[in-house]
Amino acid sequence: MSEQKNPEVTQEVPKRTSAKKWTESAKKVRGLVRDMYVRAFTEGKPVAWVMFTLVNELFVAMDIVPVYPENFAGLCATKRVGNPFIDRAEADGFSNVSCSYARIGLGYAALWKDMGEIPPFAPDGGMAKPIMTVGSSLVCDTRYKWFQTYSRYMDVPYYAFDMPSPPAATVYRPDVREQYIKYNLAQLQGLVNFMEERLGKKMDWDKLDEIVRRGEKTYVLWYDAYMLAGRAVPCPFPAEDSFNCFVPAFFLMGKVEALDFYQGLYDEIKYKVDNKMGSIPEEKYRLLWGGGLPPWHTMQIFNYVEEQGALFVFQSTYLPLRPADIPDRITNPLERMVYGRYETAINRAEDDKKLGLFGLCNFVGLGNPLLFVDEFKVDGVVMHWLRSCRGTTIGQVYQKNLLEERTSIPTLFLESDMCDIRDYFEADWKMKLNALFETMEARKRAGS
Amino acid sequence: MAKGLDWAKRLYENRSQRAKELREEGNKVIGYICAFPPRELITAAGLVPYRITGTLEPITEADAYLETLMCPYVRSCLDLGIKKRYDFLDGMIWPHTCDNIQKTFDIWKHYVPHSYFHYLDVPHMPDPSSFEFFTKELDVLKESLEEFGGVKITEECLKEAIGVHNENRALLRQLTGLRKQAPPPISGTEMTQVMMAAMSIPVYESNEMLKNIIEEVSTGKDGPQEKTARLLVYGCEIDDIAFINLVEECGANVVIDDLCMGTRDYWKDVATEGDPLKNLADRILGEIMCPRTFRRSPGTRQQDLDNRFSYIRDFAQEFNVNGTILYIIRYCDTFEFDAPEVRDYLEEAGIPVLYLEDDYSLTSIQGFKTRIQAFLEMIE
Repeated sequence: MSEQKNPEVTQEVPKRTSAKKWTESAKKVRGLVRDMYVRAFTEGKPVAWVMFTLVNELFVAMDIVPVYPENFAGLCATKRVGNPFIDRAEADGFSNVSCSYARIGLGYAALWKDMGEIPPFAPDGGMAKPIMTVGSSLVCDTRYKWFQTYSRYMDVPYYAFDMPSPPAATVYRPDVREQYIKYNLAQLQGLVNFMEERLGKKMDWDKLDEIVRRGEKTYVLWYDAYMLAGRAVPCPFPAEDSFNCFVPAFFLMGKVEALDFYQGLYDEIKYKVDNKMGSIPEEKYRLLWGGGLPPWHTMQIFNYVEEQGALFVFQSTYLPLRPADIPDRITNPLERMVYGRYETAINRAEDDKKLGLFGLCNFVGLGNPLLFVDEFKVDGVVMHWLRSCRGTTIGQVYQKNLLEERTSIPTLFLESDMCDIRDYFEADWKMKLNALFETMEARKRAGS
Repeated sequence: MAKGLDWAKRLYENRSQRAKELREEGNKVIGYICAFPPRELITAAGLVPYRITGTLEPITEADAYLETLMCPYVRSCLDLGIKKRYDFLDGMIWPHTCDNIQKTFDIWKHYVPHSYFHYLDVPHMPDPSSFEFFTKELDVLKESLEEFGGVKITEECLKEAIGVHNENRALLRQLTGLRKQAPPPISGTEMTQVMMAAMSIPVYESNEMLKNIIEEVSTGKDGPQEKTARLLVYGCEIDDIAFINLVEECGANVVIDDLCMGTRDYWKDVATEGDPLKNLADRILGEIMCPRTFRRSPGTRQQDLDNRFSYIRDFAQEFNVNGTILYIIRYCDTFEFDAPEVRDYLEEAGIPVLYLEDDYSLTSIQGFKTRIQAFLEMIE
């Protein structure tokens, strides 16, 4: 791979694909994303390509600029420039059902190698050259396999680590707790060791402690803002905004700007809720995006839904889990990160217990739609089957069955992909959505 | 009573028959999916291990419970579960091996009830902390099986079970070793039947059957005709003879495999000295060469590839193979990511490769036939 060129963000949007933003906070996200990529070129700091794994704080503490190829793939899809990368990856034999984030990420590295320069159509100047790549097993297998394959195209050291979650059946056992916490801690320490070795400098633990505690505050604000918005009638913060506003929590966690962002988001939502300010004039139907990544290539579809008088008041894909109360006696910042994660697993088990589903929703989906139907006054649930994402697709039918067993609201499956536009059929989506509106209308008329 | 290969064939055609008989006699049968659960612990608890599989018959029930955009093998297994074909199982051990299997845990548990259910977390990483974690996981499984079986699994009894299962693996390796001959005395199709049969009965009976088969094929049984093409088949779950049979009918001898229901399952033994749980962890996490387990790179890209794939090349050389078929089931993500790497690695080693991607049900078998025939013409 040749040396990178100074980026110029000249990529024009070929067509508007993104959704209208309803909050001032959501409008800020695009700038934050652009900054992430530009800073990787301009700050002169070491760059890492990282798979999102709730460990951004470690990179911040080590003064490494993390770049997230998952995010970059979503950005490419939004700009409708992802498919040349996809084609390139598939030309090397990667399956067209392998994660489209991965196909874009691999295709990007392959084309960079082929062309000797960053592909000129890469949005925001592309991803800067890394000195390391870091993947993990959190959420899905692709997250540690994909980066292993980068060695086809670039000679960059790779570190992968585990982040397993306990099953609900044994989550309360002290020995199981100790076993999971010890393992997760060892795996995080392994990552720190790798970073230290790669950079030739030691972790500043005091600095990390400050960053982790800032991250904890950020997480609580994120959670509170999202829940406040979901409960609100009318809802000032629909799912398409929420699909934007997870970005700082995933990719800037631990930084002051992330904390400021969620404080601003919370304040904005609180103000609007207090003043009964919604998004659309009348929420004829309140919808829940109940699973699956969004169609980054066509987020505008959310505006189509709104034109029909419906609003996605919540999405349970990028869901902050109920935060843990981390005691002050835990002073090791790595332990605080691991403890918090384990406690949120317990919180999830507790939530399932309340629904009588203890031990039955361990690994499906990312959030249980049943948790939100009553509380958020939901009239219908939409889920998204993704051709190339097992992590957020498997379990949707199960969740739908649970919804049908326990509620009377309709559920709709839409099918496409998060990035690969070839799997999207707009007419089909609109037809299915229209049928959903008719069903909800009939239910309202029948008074159910 | 049938003997040798005929014994295996009959079991293959009615896999659950013996397990059902044993259950009627008062034994408890524990099902498991994939190569990762430790059969040794099940045997040591006085229970009968039974490996569940899918089937090539159409999936007619599982689509009401699982998405179609996922591993068709796992969908097929659940389909059989929903259809009550696994009702003879008293319990199920469900490992976290890949996304498709892990995320089906809840669904199986909800819709295919057994009186015993255990989730076994298997780390993806190969670090000392991973082995320590997994040894503890095996200890939790051991306690759980003790409670269910109403027995205490002593170290002595676990070591004995390890010994018997090691013997089983050694017999399978011995039988596989015979396939180095030209022509091989046992076909790939027969070997698939043997593997399926061996996973369906108690290990003691399996050992008896394998000894019987080795004797039969070593002493003059009419084996397959010698073909110019000697092939290795690489992939994940092949639990039906249809594909291997197709390859052989096209004019090849399938002489070695790297499959989940093949050498991947039996090529390495459990060590017999020291802590048996740790030894089990070492074999499962360290020795089963499945792409779901990450291997740390020892240095350069070439060293990384050698570390991950040289054993396949070695198989090819030892068994005098002149071609390899990669049979990849769609949506099997870890194999899908490795497949281009395996293809390139073997081709660079001078071994021609045919890369097929399928949906497990072999609905495109005629299309495969043409491609396999063309491949065989190319390498002959």
